Amino acid sequence: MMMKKKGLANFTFSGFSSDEVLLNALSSSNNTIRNDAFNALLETLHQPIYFHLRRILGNHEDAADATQNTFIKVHTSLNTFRFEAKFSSWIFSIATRQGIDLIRKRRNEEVEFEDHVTHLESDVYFDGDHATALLHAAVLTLPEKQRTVFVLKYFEDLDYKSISECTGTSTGALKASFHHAKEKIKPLLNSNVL
Amino acid sequence: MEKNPYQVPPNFFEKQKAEILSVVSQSPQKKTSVFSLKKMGLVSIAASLAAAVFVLSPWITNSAPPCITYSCLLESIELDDLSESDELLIEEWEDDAFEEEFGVYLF
Repeated sequence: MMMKKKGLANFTFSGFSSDEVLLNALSSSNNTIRNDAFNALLETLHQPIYFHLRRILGNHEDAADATQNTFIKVHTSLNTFRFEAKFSSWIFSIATRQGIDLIRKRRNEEVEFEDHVTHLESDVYFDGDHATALLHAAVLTLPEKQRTVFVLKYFEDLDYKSISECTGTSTGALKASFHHAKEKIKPLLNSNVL
Repeated sequence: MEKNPYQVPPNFFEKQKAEILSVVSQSPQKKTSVFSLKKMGLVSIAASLAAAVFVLSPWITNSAPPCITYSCLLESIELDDLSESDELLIEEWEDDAFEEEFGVYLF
């Protein structure tokens, strides 16, 4: 499946002219209006959020759980959105937090790089060649912060300002994290894992 | 641009979308309520403070602690408030009789 990359600011919600209009509909006491708004939200962000989480977490089950939790959290926390960032950035930040929480839960289950490669190549829902498996397995070995920054920068192609909105981290720290992530990934891509 | 290698089970997005919409349509939008967790916390703290002030008020208003034992109550009674016969009674009573009458053991 080919995903078209988008910057966070470029997401638009069909039938809703702005974040404010969408937010009003999502907060409506009228079930039909609220469901139509949530439907539009899912049409635009469901797949981007899922694949963002899949790249961070590496497997379908965790990504599916985190995606569902993200949208339910969005629904229950709408009254905390303060228009300080794009609505889509806010949703990505919730998704990223859900992903990080799952990484922390799995922290005790340390998996080696070679095992990530084996797992990805045997996953029926992974359709990449060996080099792609090496890259994604290398990403999964990164610490949570570096992993998140690398996924948002390299795969989602976001600028540092958008990543900063997602993670609440300064751009300087993000650049350092991305640099460290690249330095850790490089040698793994040249390794001889079969 | 890298090809996305990750795939999903058939109809995954349609099924999950239906589940999410079902949850969203069932649970009402969270409103600010007196029973919200944050407010309940504040209410509990306020109630605890009020209870503490109520319990400690005798210590706050008087220098002496309040009486919670029978002997303390006896000591707190000013002799001037007693009639002469009461004073005599207290003086004349032996420890054994006092213990028997009031069930209080003196050591």
